[in-house]
Amino acid sequence: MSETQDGMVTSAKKPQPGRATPASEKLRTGAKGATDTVLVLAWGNPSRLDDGLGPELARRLEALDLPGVKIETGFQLSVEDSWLVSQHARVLFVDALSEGDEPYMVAVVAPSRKLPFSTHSLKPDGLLGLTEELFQVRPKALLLGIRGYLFSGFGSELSPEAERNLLTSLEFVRSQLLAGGFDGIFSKLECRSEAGDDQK
Amino acid sequence: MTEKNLKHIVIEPVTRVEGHGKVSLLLDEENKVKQARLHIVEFRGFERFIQGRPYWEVPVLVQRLCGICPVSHHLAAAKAMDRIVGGERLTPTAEKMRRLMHYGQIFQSHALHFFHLVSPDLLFGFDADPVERNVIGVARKFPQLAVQGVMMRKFGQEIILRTAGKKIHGTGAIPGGVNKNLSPAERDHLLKDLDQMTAWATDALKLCADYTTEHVADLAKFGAFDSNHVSLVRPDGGMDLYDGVLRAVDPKGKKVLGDVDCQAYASVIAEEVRSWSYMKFPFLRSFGPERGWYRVGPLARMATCEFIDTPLAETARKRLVAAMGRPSCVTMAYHWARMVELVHAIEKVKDLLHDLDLQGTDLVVKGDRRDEAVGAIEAPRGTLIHHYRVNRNDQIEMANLIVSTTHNNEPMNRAVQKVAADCFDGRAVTEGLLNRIEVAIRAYDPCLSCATHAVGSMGLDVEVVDAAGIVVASGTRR
Repeated sequence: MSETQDGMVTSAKKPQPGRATPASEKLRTGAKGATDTVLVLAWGNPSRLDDGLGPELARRLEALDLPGVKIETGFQLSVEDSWLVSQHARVLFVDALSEGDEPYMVAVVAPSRKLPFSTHSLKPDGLLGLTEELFQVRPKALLLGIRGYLFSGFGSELSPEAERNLLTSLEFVRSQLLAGGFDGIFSKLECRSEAGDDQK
Repeated sequence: MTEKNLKHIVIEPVTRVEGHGKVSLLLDEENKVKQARLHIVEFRGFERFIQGRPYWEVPVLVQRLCGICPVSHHLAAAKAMDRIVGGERLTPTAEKMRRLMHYGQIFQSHALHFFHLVSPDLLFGFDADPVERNVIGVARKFPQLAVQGVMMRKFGQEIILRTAGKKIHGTGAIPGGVNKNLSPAERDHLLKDLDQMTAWATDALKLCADYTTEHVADLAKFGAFDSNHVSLVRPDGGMDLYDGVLRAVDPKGKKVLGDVDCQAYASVIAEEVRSWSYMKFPFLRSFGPERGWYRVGPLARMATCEFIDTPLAETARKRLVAAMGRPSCVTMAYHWARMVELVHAIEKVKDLLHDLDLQGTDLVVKGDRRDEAVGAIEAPRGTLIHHYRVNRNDQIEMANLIVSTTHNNEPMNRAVQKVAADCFDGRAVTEGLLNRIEVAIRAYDPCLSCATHAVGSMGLDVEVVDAAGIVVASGTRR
């Protein structure tokens, strides 16, 4: 399970201050030739109960075969994902939440230069920061945190509550993708976010 | 002196290693380090989790042990299941597909470790501010190097994708063979970047070798200690990361474990349990726990093998041996050895991509069914052993996994003890001490996640406890 409750998460229901993309947008939002496709990048361990919420959402989303979306999954975010992220103008990160609002929370993710030391715990903001340093691009990015409840032990089944939250989250993602790839959400959340850059 | 009289310093957890661990230093009444303990605080019992599952699921299932080296677990389990179905004599296509997968894994793992975890220490120095001494710092000051690391890792993942079917949770290796070959289009896709990857790997090797030789006076003492070394080798003594016999050499290079069939690993290796760690302590039975512990991984492989069968890596191995000795017991020489293997891996990839057997269609063999089998492989971090027993209903009845980091448990403790004994001033846990402990542990590229079968997270907390058990100082690094 990754920690998404680290101050950069804004609830879709109860908006809170978050880090905003700077007004002076000197960087491209995607690498030269980046596709207009939305990258959905989900992670978690499917054998660790509700930690598998992200990959399970990705699996079900893939089955819907929606246009304009590329879906990738992993155990955790890793450094080479920076190249993948750089190839897209818009990114939706998806992870399980161990606490926070139900059924899910959505936040704008801004790049951070605060890197954890382990690749196991590379976070979306750190990955975006790395992407920016390495490839000089800054994709628009959202984090979808789906609330889970059972994280201790092994098992490939989601808890009933997590399953319910997953269904709601999936419908949210589906509707946003069909409505233009989260553009409305970006606008809404960016307006609510406080201005100011990260520790660059 | 009893343990009650020792002071206790806790450093928790260690940064930039895979998983979650903490270090405690036991001091005597003169505030000198008498013992170091790398504690493993999580335990998930993955071996129990797979009991009862059908054996053919295991090569896929075990990849969920860890997101860092899933291919190694995939292949070790598949090798065990080959024997369960009597299909250990793979077809040329199947064996070469698996080898390609494995060398792709070695390449991406070693590249990640060097470029993103180790290079900050080498480029900025051990005492640089941790805020800058990381991959972002490298990206800012040495952007080409940082991009190379990402692209090399990506290339290795591409190989895994083409051989295992997926970048993670691959299904390519199945009991008795593989479920796909490499199409000409896939081969050509990989060949496109091969020369660039070879050039970058060679550059990284040179960087690491030059750094080590330039700083050898300091590095030779840093976390260094004599040890035995264990790895698989080819029966003719050549390096082989996919298959071979178990060999051990002592600190003088004398072969102390005759080349042993991996199926008999339990007759030569035992595991000791210590009350303060969930990670076991393996040792050579013939020497006992006190003298039988050993190193595994790149440095150990340089000690056990007599040659490498690819030209660039063999030249590099000879340079390493000439500079550091064989065996070398210099902890920091692990990085140099790792880069020799990085070059070896890409040379092997090149050979395999030009081998027409990869386009063969004879993928699976089967024979007489067995109930028990061992699969062993040289994973990026060292020897990985999977041992299974299967019942008549084809369910896993017993599983025992000895992962690379577990083999290196005692050496990591020794490295920390050596560094702490050299650097601790008897009063405070300084940034310099913390940095050096981390650097020493990182040399082994430990995957504590694999060792404990859990996925952890990082940070750094320090606690100093005096001989009376009172916390006298603490600190946190996040």
